[in-house]
Amino acid sequence: MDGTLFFQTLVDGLILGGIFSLSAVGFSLIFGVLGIVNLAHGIFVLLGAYLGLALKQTMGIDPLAAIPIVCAALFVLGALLQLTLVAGAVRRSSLMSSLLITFGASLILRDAVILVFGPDVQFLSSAWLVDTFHIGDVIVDGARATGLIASLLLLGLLSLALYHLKVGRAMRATAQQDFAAGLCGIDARRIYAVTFGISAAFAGASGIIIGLINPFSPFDDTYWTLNAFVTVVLGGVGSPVGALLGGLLLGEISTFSSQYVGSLYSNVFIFSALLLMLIVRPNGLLGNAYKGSV
Amino acid sequence: MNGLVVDSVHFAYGGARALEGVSFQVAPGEVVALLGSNGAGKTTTAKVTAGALAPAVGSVTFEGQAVSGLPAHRVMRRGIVLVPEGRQVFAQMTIQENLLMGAYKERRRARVKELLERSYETFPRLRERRSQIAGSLSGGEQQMLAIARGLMSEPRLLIMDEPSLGIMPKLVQEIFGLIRRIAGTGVSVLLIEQNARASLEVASRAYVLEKGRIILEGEGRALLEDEFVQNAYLGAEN
Repeated sequence: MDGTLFFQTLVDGLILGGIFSLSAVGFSLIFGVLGIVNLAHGIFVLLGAYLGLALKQTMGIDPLAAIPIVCAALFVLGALLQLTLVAGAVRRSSLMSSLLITFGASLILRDAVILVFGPDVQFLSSAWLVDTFHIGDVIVDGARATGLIASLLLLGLLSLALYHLKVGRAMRATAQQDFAAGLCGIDARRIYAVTFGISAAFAGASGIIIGLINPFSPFDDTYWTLNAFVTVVLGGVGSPVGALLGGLLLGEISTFSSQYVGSLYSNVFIFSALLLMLIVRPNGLLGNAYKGSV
Repeated sequence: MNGLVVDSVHFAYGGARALEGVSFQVAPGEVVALLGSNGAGKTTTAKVTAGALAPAVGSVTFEGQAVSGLPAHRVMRRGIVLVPEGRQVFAQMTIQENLLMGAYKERRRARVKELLERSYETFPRLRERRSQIAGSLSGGEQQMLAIARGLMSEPRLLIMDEPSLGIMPKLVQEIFGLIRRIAGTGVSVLLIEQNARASLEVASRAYVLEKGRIILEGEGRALLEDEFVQNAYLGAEN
């Protein structure tokens, strides 16, 4: 086996995995805290990329510098979606109805994107990205390296917030025992809205990074929702570390199978891994971060 | 009256009537026991009082202000704190984090620190294990943690729902001793228990709930001697 090719594949998988992790962490958080499978997650990711594009085209803001603005905008959008549509549906019907509501929201948002930006493939590029560089024989291009570093930084930040900020503790407490959390003075509705907001903000940030590395179109949203789902099943629900592990695993499986078997077959390997995980360790590598399901 | 006044509260789960006109009072600093068999409506009464359930009819008033209809997270800010049945600690969080959740409403950091310190003085075992996750504690220790978490909220009325349920006898004594100490600090206590004897010994007054109604009330000592209570709740050994 060619050593350089192996290491190149490993590094590519790591980078892809970092992006998968960041794009999935919000999905994981909503699933962990609210028990909701958010089918609008992929469109949140894409909205990040398109917002980055709009900010660049209209105001000339560099996409990497636009990350905080995009995060703030998506936080508001995510929180509003929860407070209006999702909370209403869950209250009037059941948790299951959130599937339908978030799916509907994703269709509407996707059409809105097509209306504004058109159905064509788009690119993002940043002036701050350095050129390709070499580590030994392994080639890393600046966009991908930046993507991995930004992903790790943001995941670390979220982890710190969940474990050291008051609102992070309240989110974890609500996820574990919503009744007792209410008795402690926590307003669950507020925490649910904040969780949705944070989830959308992180999806948006990952959208920008994805846009810097790959071309994107309005029809990619199902791809990102599905990836988030697989990442969570592999890694475990609700924690940034679980998302990181799941994402890296997914990235490596994806690149290695593409490299050594053929890119047509990578889905076969991904879903085989998913099935295997569901059989041997149905709660993922780390289990549920909140409900002690290991 | 200044303390808690629950006035002819009705509540039903769907079509199943759970409370049919429950009325009782807890004066400031008083320990009141609420006794009754399984399904009598004790936990429902606790939840209605703490705001976790809204009564269909009737009212809950605390310190002269109506609290019925407010959600639990706002009722607790009025000073009524419920230590729920089954403890409900945050199993995946550390003991210290559990205690900090109790002080969630407190914005002053220095005060939170004081409360934490007070907790650890009352419960030295929790200090030793403060960085362990709560799920690793025994049932009795989890009950202590749930009570400590409740006290972190600085209640003026503490409602305890079955604090001795499923706990080994040695710790049960400790819990009742603790209830005495809590009452000694001026906090009113509404004690919901199936352990009628121990409850009547610490309570100044008690109510007996049966099928959603209060069927008996009296002073704790007097009820201990009551023939009906002896037969129904204390066993016939005396």
